[in-house]
Amino acid sequence: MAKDSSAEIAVKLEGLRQSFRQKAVRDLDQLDEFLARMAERGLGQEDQHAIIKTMYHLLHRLAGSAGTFGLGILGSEARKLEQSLKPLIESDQGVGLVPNGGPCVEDILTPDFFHRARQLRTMLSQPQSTFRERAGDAATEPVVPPLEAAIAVYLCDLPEAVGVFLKHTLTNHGFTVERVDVSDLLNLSGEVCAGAFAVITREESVASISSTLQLLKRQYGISSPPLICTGNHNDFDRRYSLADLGADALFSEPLDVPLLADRIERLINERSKAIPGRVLILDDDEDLARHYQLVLQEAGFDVHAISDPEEVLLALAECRPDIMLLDVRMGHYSGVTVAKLIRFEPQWLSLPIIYLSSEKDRSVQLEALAQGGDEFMTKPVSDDYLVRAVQVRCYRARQLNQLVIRDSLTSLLKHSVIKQEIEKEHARCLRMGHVSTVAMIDLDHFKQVNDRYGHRTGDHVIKALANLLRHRLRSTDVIGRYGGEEFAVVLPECTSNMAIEVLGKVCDGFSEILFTTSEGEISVTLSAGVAELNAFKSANDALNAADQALYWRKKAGRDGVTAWHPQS
Amino acid sequence: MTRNCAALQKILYVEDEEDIRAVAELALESVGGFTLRSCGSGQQALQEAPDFAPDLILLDVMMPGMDGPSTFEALMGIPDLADTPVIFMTAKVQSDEVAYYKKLGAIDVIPKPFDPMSLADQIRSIWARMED
Repeated sequence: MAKDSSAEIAVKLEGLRQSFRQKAVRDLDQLDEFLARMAERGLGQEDQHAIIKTMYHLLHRLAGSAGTFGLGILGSEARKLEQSLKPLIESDQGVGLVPNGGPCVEDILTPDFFHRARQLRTMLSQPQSTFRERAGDAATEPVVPPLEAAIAVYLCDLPEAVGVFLKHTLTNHGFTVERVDVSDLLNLSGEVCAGAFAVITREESVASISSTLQLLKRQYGISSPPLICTGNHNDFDRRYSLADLGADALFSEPLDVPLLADRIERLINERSKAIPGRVLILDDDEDLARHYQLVLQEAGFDVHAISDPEEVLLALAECRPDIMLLDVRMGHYSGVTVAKLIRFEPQWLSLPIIYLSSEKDRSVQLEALAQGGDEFMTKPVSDDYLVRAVQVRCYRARQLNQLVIRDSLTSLLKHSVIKQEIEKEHARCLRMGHVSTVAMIDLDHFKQVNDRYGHRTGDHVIKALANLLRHRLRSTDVIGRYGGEEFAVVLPECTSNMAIEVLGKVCDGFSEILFTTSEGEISVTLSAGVAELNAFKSANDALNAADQALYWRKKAGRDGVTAWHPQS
Repeated sequence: MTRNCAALQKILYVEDEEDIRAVAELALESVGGFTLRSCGSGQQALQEAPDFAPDLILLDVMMPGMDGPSTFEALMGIPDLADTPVIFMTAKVQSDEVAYYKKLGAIDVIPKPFDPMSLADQIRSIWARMED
């Protein structure tokens, strides 16, 4: 068990981060001194050797530690510089700095090296809370690692050819794919089971795998992972039997992989719907408010309780609840009037408000509902009823909210919402001084796909790209469907070079996805343009720049990523 | 959710960087709930390890003087510690280097930078895998 509360740990971590930052400032001062000395003429070889070695160790230290203290970008840049110096260090195992055929100092300590090393200081001014921005494989992929674990797909008992085909194609869709047998499934650790995973098998194995998954479910208290089977039986009885055995989906061969990928995604999402909601309680009876709060917290809700009606607007802004519980009589304040007051603010027009009242007269209740509330819960409310009622309403409120802000085809943010997100991040960049990037992504020759293969194929292509972006980007990145086949992405605390690397991989992965059409299999490519938000006065200017870069990319042959740069 | 973690309680941690040591102490004691003995050098680890009798040793690779691999060899030379599992922590995580540390006898390698909030889980998961 942890000894400190999360709040105490957070405070301590912040203290350590501040102290690391101060030390890093001193380290970078020292690095500047070394760089200045290396630029001096007539420095002896031994001195050069000593300075390079010290710089190497200093950069190595920063590379290994900065990410732990929330300065991931500084750490990854330090690592690149450290790697640049490595050939000099390796060739200097006691034989002097420039052995025959070894690297030359001037080849490595170029003006660009000096420039990048001096730029490290600017990366200290990024107040990030990126303790999560760590890379499991930091040396090979130091930049912008995906924060969310990819969905794992286990291919179990599938014929060799199907297994090989699905492993390749589903990997391109951003899943982590493994071929296993039933005993491997049984040995999955609790940690793996707690993550998102799905199993694909042939119909003959559904019964045995279904019971294995039930065992895992009981052992680790997880919800049933999706079980998808492949087969060609279309008769009702067989399908009924598969559904009864526990299969969640049946895919006929030849397999339509984009459709399969989309189904996996949906099944996983359905199972993670149990995300608790946020609740705001306003009741002038502090003990009662506290009681409701504890009961709902116990059920997994994030609950904010207040007893002073005057605090309501502030509390709403802070808590941003999915639902509000409001006492009707609070001293000289009326809950009904408070509900009306809340509705003055357009952003709270759709907030579900439930009155808590001992009022049993239905006509009085209806009158109160007409003033701004949505429902009555009559006191005394049993704990069980409270939890269930709040669960149902929270779930519906979230569903509705999703419909309002998300695109129905892709479940990505709608145009207006992603634009707001870009503006928010632009403002954050200016306030905090860090570098963030916006990207515009467009499917190449999409009109031809739609015209030639039909809108159904076009929709599959769009959904596949949406799913791939969700898998390949970090959970902190914000993705929206900007228009028909156009997407916008905000990559916080990410330079345009990092964005090029990450989106380049998305391009590569996407171009390998095969879509089944009436005329056989096709692949589609995409183009992207990126621009750093803080290089522009407004979010709109940055978005236009990303769009301009996208246009350059299209002109340069599509299928890739181009960064905006000032034109001479 | 990991299994077989009951036996892992005492960790000996060797790291020369003071600030990294401080954050790892927080990550392993406060977040992870382990009993931790941290040492600033290989030499100090050699002195303190026998009495502390750790269940697991976490070893930084690049340290001045006695580096991680040398400390590892010396620790393994102490009869009571010869079977104690060791995890290396390093910013060098090229696959050939990882293979080298595993060949030395390490049960795993944790890359730096690490995430203080999940370091303990990472160690528990390595431990559980070893026990399986």
